[in-house]
Amino acid sequence: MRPFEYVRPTTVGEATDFLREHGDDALVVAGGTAAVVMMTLGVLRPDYVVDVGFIPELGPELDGSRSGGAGLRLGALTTVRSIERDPAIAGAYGLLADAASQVANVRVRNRATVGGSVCYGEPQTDLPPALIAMGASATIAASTGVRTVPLAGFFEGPYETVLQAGELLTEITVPLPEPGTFGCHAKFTVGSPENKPVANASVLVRTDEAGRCVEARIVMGAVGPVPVVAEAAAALLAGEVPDAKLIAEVAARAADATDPQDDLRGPVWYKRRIAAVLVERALSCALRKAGNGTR
Amino acid sequence: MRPAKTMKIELKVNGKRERREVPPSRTLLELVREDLGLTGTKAYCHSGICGACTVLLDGAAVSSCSLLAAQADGAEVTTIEGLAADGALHPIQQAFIDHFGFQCGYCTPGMVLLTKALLDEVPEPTREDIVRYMGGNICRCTGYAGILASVEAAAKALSTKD
Repeated sequence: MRPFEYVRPTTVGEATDFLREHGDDALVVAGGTAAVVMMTLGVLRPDYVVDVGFIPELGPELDGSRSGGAGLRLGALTTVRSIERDPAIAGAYGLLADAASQVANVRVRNRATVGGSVCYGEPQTDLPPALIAMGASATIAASTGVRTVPLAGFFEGPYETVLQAGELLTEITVPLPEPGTFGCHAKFTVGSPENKPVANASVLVRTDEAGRCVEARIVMGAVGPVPVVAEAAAALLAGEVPDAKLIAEVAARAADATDPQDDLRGPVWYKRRIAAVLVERALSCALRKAGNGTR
Repeated sequence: MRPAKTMKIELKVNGKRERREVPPSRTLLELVREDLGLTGTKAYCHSGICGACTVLLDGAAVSSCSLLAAQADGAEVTTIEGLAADGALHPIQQAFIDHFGFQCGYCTPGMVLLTKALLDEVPEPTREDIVRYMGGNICRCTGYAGILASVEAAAKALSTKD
């Protein structure tokens, strides 16, 4: 690994002050599961590493006070593993727990953070589609102030986000879903499960007492430079009690919205086909949960 | 807050306090193997995939290759050398021997520590719990059947012991 200098801020202010001076040459490291590996491989060669893992404000632990009625607040250091296991998330935010449980392997989930998974901007990651489907926003601090960006507009391309040098993501907020909202995440990988997926899909639905779809969101990962939000496909569900034919139609329309690339995980036609299958699976799963009334 | 070219860190490894001054680019894996000489922890993929370098960090299984030593400052680390007590194998280690849970042995330290993390978390795991949890560590010899049997036997041994 190329040598670098190391700083360990203990407040967000210290971190953003340092990033204001050195943001262009610095790499922010939280869990390290991506950053340390990318430095070992020589892909990332920063002059400075800013270890934000010792900043209490970034909330390494979830607690009840963070998930009040207004929604869920996830400090940037919240681990993927705690999203998977926290009882406060399993209920109304079950889609997040479902997506978190499918990230890489348990060793990675123990260290990887929600802030890191989002800031890394990797198109194949599981959490961003789920967070976008749930309408999450990122709180971003800089020495000049704080701004909030909806995650739907956060990603700009593979490994590219709206984050500017000098900025630090401090928190992800997720609005409390309306009662009767259920979601599922599905992914498919070739080879070992910790490989990057061919595609993944997060689906969130809300149904009324008659089983009619009131609201639906479909977001797919790994099939475009950024997570793909399939609005036209989701709109087909409005007011309908979905049967197998409609679910297949929605899945096909969602796949039309994708923009995958040929790579070692498959050619374009294959990824589109897989994306449709995953939307079908996640949508069926969400509707099943809605029918049972269990999250 | 000045950038540092070396870091003084202090951590507890297998119950023993260790103080070291390391370059910040040192990974926890390098610290454990090269500075502390605990070569039971194996290096292979260097990308968090294979699990050969698994250690327990404050009780949680992590890849020591994907973590800077400086990030583990103040933490408690358990390596495979820390499991046997007074010369007696840990029940998990004994179960891996009894049930042929390894062949070449390269993945075994990681498998044993991952089993420890699983059983600390879920003392009576189902077969599915075990498959899901252990599936993250790769073995290229056994076909996993012996490993699954070892984990099940270890769970039984530990629950009857308590």
